[in-house]
Amino acid sequence: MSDLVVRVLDVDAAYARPTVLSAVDVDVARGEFVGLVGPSGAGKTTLLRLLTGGVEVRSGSVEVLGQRVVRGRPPRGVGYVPQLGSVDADFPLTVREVVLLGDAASSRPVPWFTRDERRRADALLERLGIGELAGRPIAELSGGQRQRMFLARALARRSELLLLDEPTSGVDLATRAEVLRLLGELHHDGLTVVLTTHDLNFVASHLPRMVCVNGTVIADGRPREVMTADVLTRTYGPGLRVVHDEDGHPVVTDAAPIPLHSGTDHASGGMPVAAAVVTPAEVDA
Amino acid sequence: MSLLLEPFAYAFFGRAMLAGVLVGALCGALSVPVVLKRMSYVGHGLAHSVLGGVAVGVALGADLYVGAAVATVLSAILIDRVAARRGLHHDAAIGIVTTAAFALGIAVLAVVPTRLNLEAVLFGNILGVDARDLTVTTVVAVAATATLFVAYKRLVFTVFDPEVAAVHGVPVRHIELGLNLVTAAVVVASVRVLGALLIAAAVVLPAAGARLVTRSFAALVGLAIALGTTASVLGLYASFHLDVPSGPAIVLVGTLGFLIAYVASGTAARRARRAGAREREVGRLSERGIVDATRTQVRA
Ligand SMILES: Nc1ncnc2c1ncn2[C@@H]1O[C@H](COP(=O)(O)OP(=O)(O)OP(=O)(O)O)[C@@H](O)[C@H]1O
Ligand SMILES: [Mg+2]
Repeated sequence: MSDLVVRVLDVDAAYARPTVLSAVDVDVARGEFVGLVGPSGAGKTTLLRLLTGGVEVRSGSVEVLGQRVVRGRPPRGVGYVPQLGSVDADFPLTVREVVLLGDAASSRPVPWFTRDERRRADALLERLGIGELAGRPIAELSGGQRQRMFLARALARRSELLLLDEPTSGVDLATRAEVLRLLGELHHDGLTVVLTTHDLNFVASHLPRMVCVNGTVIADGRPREVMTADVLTRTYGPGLRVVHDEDGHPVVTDAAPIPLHSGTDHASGGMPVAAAVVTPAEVDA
Repeated sequence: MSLLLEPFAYAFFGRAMLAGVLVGALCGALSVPVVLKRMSYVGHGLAHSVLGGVAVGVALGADLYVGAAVATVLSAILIDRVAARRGLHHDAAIGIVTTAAFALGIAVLAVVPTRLNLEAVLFGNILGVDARDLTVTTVVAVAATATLFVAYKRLVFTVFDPEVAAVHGVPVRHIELGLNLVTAAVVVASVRVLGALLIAAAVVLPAAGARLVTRSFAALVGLAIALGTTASVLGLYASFHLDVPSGPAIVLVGTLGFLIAYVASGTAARRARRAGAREREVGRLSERGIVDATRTQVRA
């Protein structure tokens, strides 16, 4: 097997009639840590599904861990962490049971799990810092705890490639840092990681490689090189500005304050006179 | 006591009870994926196609079970195929496929004269349970139990999170098709006791009730089977003593069980909400290292 874990070659992908991704070329080498970014509806989730046999490959080819992937034929050796909110949060399972399911496909065909399997699930939960939640119904978890549970489920399957769909959305900054620290550890242990995120600044300051997606791959490379006003405009449209922090990392901000109309006269052209400018402090309040 | 034993003086009641217990347990087990997957329409739809199949089968001079089995299995496969099309969900697929079968059945009955006891097919009739019905029910029970036993983990994963289940190597399409076929088989086996129109309720009520009072999957399965079986047993007694068709009797007892669970869970939930809110708060604080959860007692 080559050292390419993911090899997407000139692929058009679709769910139904319209093509969602076209002419996509992405290679990921073993041991890489890649962030996929792009606006909502850009096709980030679809790109992950391309690697797991979840969408139709109209043309081109997809190879993951040396296996040819087409719709309905997921490759072996991939762990998947879905976007939060993709399952029934009130489903009657405990945290441990969810983790055990991660490896159900290679478990014996009986309704129970062996003591070894349960011990392994508990060890994973322990490692992710939620060992004490093993017996809890999943309905009682916070967003961050749920995210870690799904990470444990993905790891329950012995995987070489970990795919995560927005693992840092909807959790607070401390939890985000914790999830990323865990991913860093796993990556350090040799796992190849591909995640999607809306958090450009996190990608810029922590990840070695970013791929900008919007219907196709717009740019791909080291954030310092990729994250330019031009690329961001082509990915997200106008309205974003790139500055650099003291370490030289690019940082994305809004090009201009976003005016919120107060409901009075705003027909005066240009920036409305009666506009409220939202500052972070006000948003928090 | 005689109320419980007297009916067994009649041979048919013993057979009906045996069939009822099997059917009740099966429907109870099946109600778990049906409720969790929100596919109560499947039971509803398959039950409708049973009538179509029975009518056509009997009109053609075939056996009741042959017609019912062909119709439900065909419907299950068709539903699966139609729903696999983009843009059509299960409910639409079922609405199309099974209503067509139902309509066909009614049309055939109107044109071809048969000796079919329509009321018995629709509402169930314990007088009609013969040795062969018992055989069919037993065979279905064994096959369905074996299938659910073997597929259990993969089925739970599929019901919970089909997308990730597929990525993690579970043959989701086969599991779903298998579940539909098991449902079809159980529907066929239940026609005598429950009647075509009341099967739909029997594959929903047990898990719906059980779900209100437990959050553990294993307990949910156990409780649903227990509820389904109990409803069958009590319903058959009611059917015998009160001279109502067995299907409605069983469904009414099941509904009563659901209501009891509903009221019980309401009371329990009020109490748990207060305790749970406190516990979650402690959990949040302990995550941030503000409170040591292991030392904090939370009293219900
Ligand atoms: N299951 C589906 N069936 C049909 N079309 C879909 C499906 N899922 C997504 N799409 C379409 O594919 C396009 C890309 O969607 P995708 O979910 O990949 O975007 P995304 O970049 O992940 O967005 P977000 O940031 O909001 O999660 C969208 O136009 C969406 O409407
Ligand atoms: Mg997405």
